[in-house]
Amino acid sequence: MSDCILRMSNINKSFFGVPVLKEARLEVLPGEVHVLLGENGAGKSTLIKILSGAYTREGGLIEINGQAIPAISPKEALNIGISVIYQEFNLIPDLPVYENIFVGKEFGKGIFVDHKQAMEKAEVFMKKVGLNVSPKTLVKDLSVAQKQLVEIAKAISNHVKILVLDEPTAAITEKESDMLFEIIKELQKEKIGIIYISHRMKELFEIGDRCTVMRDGEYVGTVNLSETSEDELTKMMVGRTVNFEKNINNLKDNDQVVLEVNQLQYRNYLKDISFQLHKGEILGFAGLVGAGRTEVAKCVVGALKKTGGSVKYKNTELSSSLPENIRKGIVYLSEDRKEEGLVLSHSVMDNIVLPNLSKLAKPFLRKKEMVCCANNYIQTLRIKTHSHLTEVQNLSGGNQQKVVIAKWLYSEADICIFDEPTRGIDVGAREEIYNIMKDLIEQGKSIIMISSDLVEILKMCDRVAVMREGMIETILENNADLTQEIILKYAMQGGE
Amino acid sequence: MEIVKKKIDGKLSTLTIYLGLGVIFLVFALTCKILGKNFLTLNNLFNIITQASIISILAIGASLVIVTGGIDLSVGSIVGFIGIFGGLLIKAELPLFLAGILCILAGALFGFANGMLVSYGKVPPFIVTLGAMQVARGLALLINRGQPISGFPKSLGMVMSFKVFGLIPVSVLYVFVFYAIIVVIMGYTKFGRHIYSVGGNINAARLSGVNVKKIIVMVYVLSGIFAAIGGIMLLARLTYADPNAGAGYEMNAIASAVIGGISLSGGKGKIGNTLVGAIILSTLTCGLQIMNVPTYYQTIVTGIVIVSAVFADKKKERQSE
Amino acid sequence: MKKKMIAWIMSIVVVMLAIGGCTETKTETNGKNSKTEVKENKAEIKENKTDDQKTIGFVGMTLNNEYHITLANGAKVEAQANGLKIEIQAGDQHASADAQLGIIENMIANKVDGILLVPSSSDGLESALTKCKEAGIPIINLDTKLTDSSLKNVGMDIPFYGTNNFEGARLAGEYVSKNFNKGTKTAILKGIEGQTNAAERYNGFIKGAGDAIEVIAEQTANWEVDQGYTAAQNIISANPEVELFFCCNDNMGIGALRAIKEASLQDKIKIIGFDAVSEALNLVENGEFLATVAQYPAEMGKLGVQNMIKVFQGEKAENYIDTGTKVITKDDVKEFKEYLKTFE
Repeated sequence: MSDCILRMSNINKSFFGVPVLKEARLEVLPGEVHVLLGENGAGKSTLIKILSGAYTREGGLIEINGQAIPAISPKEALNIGISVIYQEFNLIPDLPVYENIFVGKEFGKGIFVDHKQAMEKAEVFMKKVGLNVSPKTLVKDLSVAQKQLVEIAKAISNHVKILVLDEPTAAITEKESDMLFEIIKELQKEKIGIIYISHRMKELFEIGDRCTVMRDGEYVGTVNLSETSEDELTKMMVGRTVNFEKNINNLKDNDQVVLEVNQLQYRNYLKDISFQLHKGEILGFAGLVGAGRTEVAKCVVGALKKTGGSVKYKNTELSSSLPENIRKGIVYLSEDRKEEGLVLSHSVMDNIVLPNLSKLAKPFLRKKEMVCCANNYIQTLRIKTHSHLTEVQNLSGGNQQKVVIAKWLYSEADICIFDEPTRGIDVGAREEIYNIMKDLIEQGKSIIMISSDLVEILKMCDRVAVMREGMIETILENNADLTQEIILKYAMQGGE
Repeated sequence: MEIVKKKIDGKLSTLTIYLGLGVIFLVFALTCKILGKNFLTLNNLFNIITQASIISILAIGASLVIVTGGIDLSVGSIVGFIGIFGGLLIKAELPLFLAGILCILAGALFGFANGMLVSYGKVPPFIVTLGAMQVARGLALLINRGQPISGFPKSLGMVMSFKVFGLIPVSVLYVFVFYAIIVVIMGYTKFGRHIYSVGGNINAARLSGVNVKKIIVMVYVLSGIFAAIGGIMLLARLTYADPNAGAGYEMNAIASAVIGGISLSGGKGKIGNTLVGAIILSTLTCGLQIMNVPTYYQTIVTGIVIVSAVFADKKKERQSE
Repeated sequence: MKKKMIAWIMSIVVVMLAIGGCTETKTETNGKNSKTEVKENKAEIKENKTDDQKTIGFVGMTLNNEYHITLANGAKVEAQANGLKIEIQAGDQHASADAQLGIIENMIANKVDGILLVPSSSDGLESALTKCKEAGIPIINLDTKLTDSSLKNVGMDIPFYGTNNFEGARLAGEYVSKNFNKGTKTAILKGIEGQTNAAERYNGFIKGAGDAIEVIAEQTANWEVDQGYTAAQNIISANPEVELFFCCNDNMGIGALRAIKEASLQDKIKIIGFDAVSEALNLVENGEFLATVAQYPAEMGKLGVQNMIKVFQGEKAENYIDTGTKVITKDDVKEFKEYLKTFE
């Protein structure tokens, strides 16, 4: 296909030695809406970031209109007509619409800006995207859908050739979506290539022409959307069944409920969350990013203040005080190690003892004891570090995760909530983390595991709660019949 | 070998500052010897520490606040306020001890207000303490209508000038006692470790069960208390209360902490080194005065030393980039 | 690795040297008490080196304004003329008693033979005085008088050479009462609230001017040019009928002048300053200031040194000298400028 507006071929990329893109491919025709589909972590956003110049590729070729382009900076990408509209808009809230459209390429002579000219030009682009507000309106006063239009207007003003829309309908109403689709159709007429990322199956078929599916950083295939079905796409996303054994857990005690959540609510993010956790059980939470899994965990431990419902631990109501809940033995291991899990500039030892200082202080801390405790976990969890005094930021992702786990193992928690415990961790370390979880179960503890990795969910969990848009869609027994397809279907389409 | 190297690296950052102090001492000692002046005498060493005493006590508070990632600009004004406040109490013939307690309470109250506004009010520390700085200075002027106070009993002066065993000025002892206490608190208590974790990563600290807000309030309260202690020390040192006293002390306190390697981004630094930082500053002043270097140059040298200290401290970071 | 080893070794050397230095001087001080050879040696060295040259310590209030610089220069010129060493130190920009105490401690440690003191506050230096008394170092007080209660508290009798601010301001007031009509509408810019000389200048002027003036506005402008400027702006807009500004120092007067110029009221409003700084003298010369009050800071420094020499020679210093003040107007400004040149 030599008439491609964009051709990306054999793109490779890895982070800290973990490959995230393996020979990825993407071909977009002028004037088509090309859907990019894949599970969380399939590599879609990495691929887009390479296209936009945010990441540098480690191999492969990018051609635009048949012309190969070298590694480029984000600014250069904009200049050659590549615009990406992320879910988090890249706008300056306290500047008016017209200045946002032309930011970085202001009109005027010398150091002075010609506001009048900018406003007139802005209105042309605003009309094109159907944005009917004054160009002087401040961006912060606009609705989400309107901000999106500003972004599109900005892209058009940049003579966009390839426009990437990342989940454009995630935060806007159905009516606004319809308007957006109209504008997309207009853009198609101008032979702009549009890459469309979304998980909403229905709209894919409504707006998309072709679809490229990615899985585990690899290219799976490209299909015409008019010739395929939702089920077929789901199958492509999940792929062949990976060979793994489901963990058989005989320790789960169905009679003993340790945690009972009833009609939990959190602002408008969570609706009527109810589930039970049994002693010795691993309960999985599956769902797409943004489905509300992390919020559930944080509400349970008290890191977020729930706005309704109840959380009972062994039949007594839990308060929403985090320190108190930690003392009772309910702990949360954040998905975001760097922002929430660790003090990166502190040593391995300081991080491990942090939640356990009450236990160690009598009333003064003894260095010897702290060193002893840290070294104990460094050994048992096989944390690879120079010494207990090494700063955590110098450790690899897997070892950092082990430090986080060590923190809470030492605190002898009763319920552990693991949020994406194996994200960004290599295979060997994953197995070790699974083994630690199994050990915990054997000691009679209970685990909630939030994961986007369906293989891991199927391998480890006794039951799986599937969340979609702030609700628990269903809770499934993990028996031999449960497959990735079934879970994914609930996560994407709901139970219909 | 690798491990040994790491260990030395860790120690070296602490060592740089002692090295700096050593070099400064050496330079002064040699120059003064050549000029025929007295620098390295026991008496002068005590002088240096006495002159550093007030700033070094304020610097404890400054360091604590900086470790949590904040800043406290109000301490200098609190020193001025406490001078007048304490002075009035003593003039009203309250026993010194009781007056001291009331001063410390007043300092704690300032700190509490700062801490509450920072932690619960979510106002940036720079703004909160900038405001408190103005308020405290205004109050210092207000409560005695801008007048200084003098004519205190001799016993007040003894609070600073008493010599233990007829040799060691008691002000030197205060410094070492307070630093000993704070070093133990920061290194060997739950509270101290929590302070570091709040400064290192406030989210991780919260999720680890640290009561982040309480820690922040406590730290500002402590800063207020140390400011009050500094104010009492200044009052006793001068046996004179001036509502304008202590202006600019907050900057010297912050400079001491920074020279001592307390990171302005929070979470890092050894509090004991703050004392070395304060002593470096007062050694500079003392040495330059003994060498009779004109005042103008003294300020320039001090400025250069502050920046060089941090520059040397960041050397490792630059190399690793 | 090598570098680090060197750092280690260096630091050890430094520490050892420092300790070595300490112990060495320790024996010296011990020696002094027990009158061993060490002391004698030292005394000898001192005699050889200095030829009985004495050192005077000059402790200024600050060295960031002309008045105090002139005061220090007066002392410096006189000391050099008499073959004495002089060490001039002052606090940084905050005129702080704490900084002066530190300077005095360091001078005592370095064994100056006498101290000329320009106190930052009249009664804030008791601790410093006590230390001088203990060390047996004579003091002469210049410019700002230490209060009697302060002197009584420390049990010292210290000579004072300076001017009387009250007297100078009274002279300015009298000048106004002679040259202006009764009830002249007057604005006063005052110094820092709570300072003795600020109060004295204010009171002296009021006393001297008597019913020649009607004070319609008064503001504190903290001795500063910029604050004088804003205060004068406000006063002019609130009281356009104002005829005379009395500014308790020239800096505030310079600020006021700018505000008056901006309001184009130069013909209507007169300015009297205080201190006779060089800029003010220029302004008097070209008629933009009506007058300023001169003190003789250089004289104070000079007299201080002369009398300190007397003390060194075992004589008694003059107990009190009023160095005098003078209202400088267009008529005598040239002459005064000539006199000042000797101390630049």
